[in-house]
Amino acid sequence: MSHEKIQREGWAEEYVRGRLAPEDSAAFEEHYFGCDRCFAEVQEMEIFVSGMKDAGRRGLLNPELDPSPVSAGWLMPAFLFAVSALLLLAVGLGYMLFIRLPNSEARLQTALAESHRTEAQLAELNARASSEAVPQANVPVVILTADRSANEPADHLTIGKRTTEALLWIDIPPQPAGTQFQITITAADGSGKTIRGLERNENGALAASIPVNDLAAGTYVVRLYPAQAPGGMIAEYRMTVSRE
Amino acid sequence: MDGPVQATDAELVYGVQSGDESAGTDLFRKYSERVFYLALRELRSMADAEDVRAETFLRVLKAIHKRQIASPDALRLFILGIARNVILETLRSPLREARGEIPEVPAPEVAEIVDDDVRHSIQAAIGRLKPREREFLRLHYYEDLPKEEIARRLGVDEERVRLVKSRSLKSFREMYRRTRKIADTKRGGPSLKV
Repeated sequence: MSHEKIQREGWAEEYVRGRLAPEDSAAFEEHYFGCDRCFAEVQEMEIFVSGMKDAGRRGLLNPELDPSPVSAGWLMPAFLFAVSALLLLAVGLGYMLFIRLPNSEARLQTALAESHRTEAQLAELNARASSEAVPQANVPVVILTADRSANEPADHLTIGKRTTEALLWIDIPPQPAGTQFQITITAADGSGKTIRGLERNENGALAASIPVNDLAAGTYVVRLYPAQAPGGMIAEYRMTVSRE
Repeated sequence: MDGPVQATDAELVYGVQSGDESAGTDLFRKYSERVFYLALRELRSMADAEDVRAETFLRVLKAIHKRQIASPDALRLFILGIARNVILETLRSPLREARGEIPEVPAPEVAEIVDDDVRHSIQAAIGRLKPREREFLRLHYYEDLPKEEIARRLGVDEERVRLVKSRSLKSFREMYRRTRKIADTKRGGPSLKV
C-alpha cells in the first residue's frame, strides 16, 4: 500500500470511523506504525471525528440552531470585560495624570527644599564647630632630644585624665632654612601615626600637637624625616607615655 | 532546523541487545504512542490502553534480549503484532467481561479525548458553516451515513459533501493547533492528545 494512495483516498478518516475493511484496516495500521505523517493525521482525525460526534450529540450541528450564540455567549462577557477594563484604565490614567502626579511633584519639591535647608544647617554647624577653639589648661608637653645616648631614659609624657591634646617639642639638628619635615610616631606593636608639614620655629625646634587618644601608655619611637625625601631619616627619638 | 536524527530500527535492536539503556528508551519513544493509540481505539479505556502499552514493550524488550526477533528491520511489524495480541488478550480477559464490556463492539470514539480545547475548536469550525452545511456534518459524523446517502437526502452531489468536510477540518485544525499551542506554552511544553 502506498502513502499516496492512503492520502488520496482519505484512509485516515475511514479508519477512524471504522469504515475500512478489516484487511485494509490492518494494512493501514502496518503503514502508520512506520509513517509519522499518517500517524499524526490519524490522531488529529480521531480528535476531529470525536469532537464532531460530541457536537452532534449536543445539538450543535442541527441546521435550525445557530451556533453563533455559543460564541456570542463567550464573546459578550469578553467584550464587556474589555470595555470595563478600558474605562478603568482611562479613569486610572486621568487620576494619575491630573491629580496624583501633580500632587506627587509638589510633595517632591517640598521634600527637596527641606533637604536643602537641612544640608545648609548642617554645613553651618560644621563650620562653627571647626572655628570654635576651646581653651585647654595643663596641656602635657614632651621635649624630644636626639643627642641622648642609648643608656639614658627616654623622654617621658604623662597624660592627665582630662587631657585631650599633647604637645611634642622636638629639638632637631641644624637644617637648611625653609626645610619642611615630617615625623612618624611608632608604637611597640608597630602601629603608628605620621605628622606632616612641620617647620622649625623661632627656637629652632619643631612643635606639633597630637590627640591623646592616639597615644596609649607605652614606648614609642619618633623618627624625623625631611618632607621632600622621606627615605632619609634625620634623627630618631624615644618616648614613653603613661596615663594618670 | 532539523530535529535529532532518529535511530533506525536495526540500530535500536542492536543497541538493546548490547545493553545500551538509551536504545530501549528511544525504542519506547518511537513506538509507544502508536501502541497506546491502537489499544485505546480498540479498548475504549485509557487505563487498559496504558496496561497494553506497558505489557507490549515488556514483551518486545524481552524478545529482543533473547534474540527472538527474526529481522531487526521488521521491528515495526513485530511490535504491532505483539500489541495486537495483548489487545486481544485484554479484550478476552475475564476482568473486562466481568465489568460488562463487550469485546466484539469496535471502539469508534473515545470520550476522554474530547476536552474543552476540542469543543472550543469544533464550535469555532461549526460557527463558520451555513445551516445546510452543518446538516451535512451531522448526517456524516453523528448519523454516520455514507456520502451517497447524504447527497441523495440533501439533493447535492458527493463532491459538495467532501468540500464541506474538508473546509470544516481545515478550520478545526487551525483553531485546535492554535489553542494547543497556547496551552502547551502555558504548560511549558507540548503534550500528546491521544
